[in-house]
Amino acid sequence: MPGWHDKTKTLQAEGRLQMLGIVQEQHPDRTRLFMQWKEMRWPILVDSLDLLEVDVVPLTFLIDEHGVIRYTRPTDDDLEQFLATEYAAPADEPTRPVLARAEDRYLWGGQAALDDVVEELTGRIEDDAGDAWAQFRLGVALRRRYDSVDRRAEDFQKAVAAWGHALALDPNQYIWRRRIQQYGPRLDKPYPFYDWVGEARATLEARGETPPALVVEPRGAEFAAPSKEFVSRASEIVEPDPEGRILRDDAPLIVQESVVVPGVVEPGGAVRVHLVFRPDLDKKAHWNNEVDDLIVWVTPPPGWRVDQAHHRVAVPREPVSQELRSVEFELDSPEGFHGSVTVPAYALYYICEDVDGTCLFRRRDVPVTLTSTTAR
Amino acid sequence: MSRIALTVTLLGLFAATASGSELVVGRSFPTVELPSLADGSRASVKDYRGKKLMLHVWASW
Repeated sequence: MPGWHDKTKTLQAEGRLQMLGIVQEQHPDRTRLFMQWKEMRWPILVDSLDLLEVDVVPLTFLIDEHGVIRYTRPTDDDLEQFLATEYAAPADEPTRPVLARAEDRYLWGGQAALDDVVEELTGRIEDDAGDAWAQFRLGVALRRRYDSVDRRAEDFQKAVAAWGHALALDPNQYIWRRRIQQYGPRLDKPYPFYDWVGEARATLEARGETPPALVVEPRGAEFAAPSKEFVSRASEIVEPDPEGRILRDDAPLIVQESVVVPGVVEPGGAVRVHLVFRPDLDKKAHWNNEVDDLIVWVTPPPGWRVDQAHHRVAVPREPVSQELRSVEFELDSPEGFHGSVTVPAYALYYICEDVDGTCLFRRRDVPVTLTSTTAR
Repeated sequence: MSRIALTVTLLGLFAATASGSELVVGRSFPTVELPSLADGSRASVKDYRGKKLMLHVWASW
């Protein structure tokens, strides 16, 4: 879009051409940062559910003064012709589409409506397992709830599963495919997605502008560059607790979630595993940052490869904190993978609770279970 | 089929009709209301009637 934007600056300034955007992104507010960075000041409509049912982006349309599409994927000559033509009004006014309840509630019901939206879309899928749009939109709603205060631990994994079901029904729908790729392994990615965020912020700050805050900070897979082959980096670090002698966080003081993307493994294919750790606020738990970082160790089963066995999440400067800590790693499956496998992994961390005031060094086993597509 | 049942069926069909296939030259662009990124208010392509519009369906990635 920046290309067209630059070419049409004068036309926009003279009022001869109105620019308008529609984005299907899961996190549409990131577009706001992008546009401020590129100095594109035109309105954007948000269509995260893809009500327009486009299957690929970008698409550019020239729409006349009566709302009729005159060109798709226009050339410079098309634009010139379009601006020089006075179009006649169509005979009929288009009917405004009637939205189903779940879609309407998603758009206009706010955060409070998400439980209803999830329930309604789930019901539609129960009635018709072939309703691929309901599957895609269920994934969008689940992921939105996952990013909210009303999150359920399983929302993200369920979203990935719903997107997977939708894509299995229509493998040519690239809007759906991008949702999985955004969070998935490097092997499947067409581009990094949000690697531009850091540069955008730095540029805005250098210009003396304030970058808009993002609802959800992109991380891990959303920055990772695509790769044509699976790269397994040998670790020079020895396994920290091979015999499992560190006491377990049995309380537990840390709430832990694991998400595998995609939800099922193509034999010979890769998955990206997202591990999330957050102190249990109900137990008044917090990280103890005065000792060491959070460590994760992954042991790939025979025949499997991990991109990196050892991970370290640097602690913030303050002595105590309660932030979310995340680790992402990728696993590459053997060609003959069938059924399911459990990948051993564990985290080591320093944690305190304010009830009795104790601080502990604990281990948390976070085995990841993977299922093959052939097992469905 | 009763008239009510037919209406409900047609509404259902309309809601389920692929808009993607409607995005062709010579047809009106769908006027569905969507939240504006600026403030979440209801907005539609229809708000721009009377103007020559260049519409980008895109993503910031």
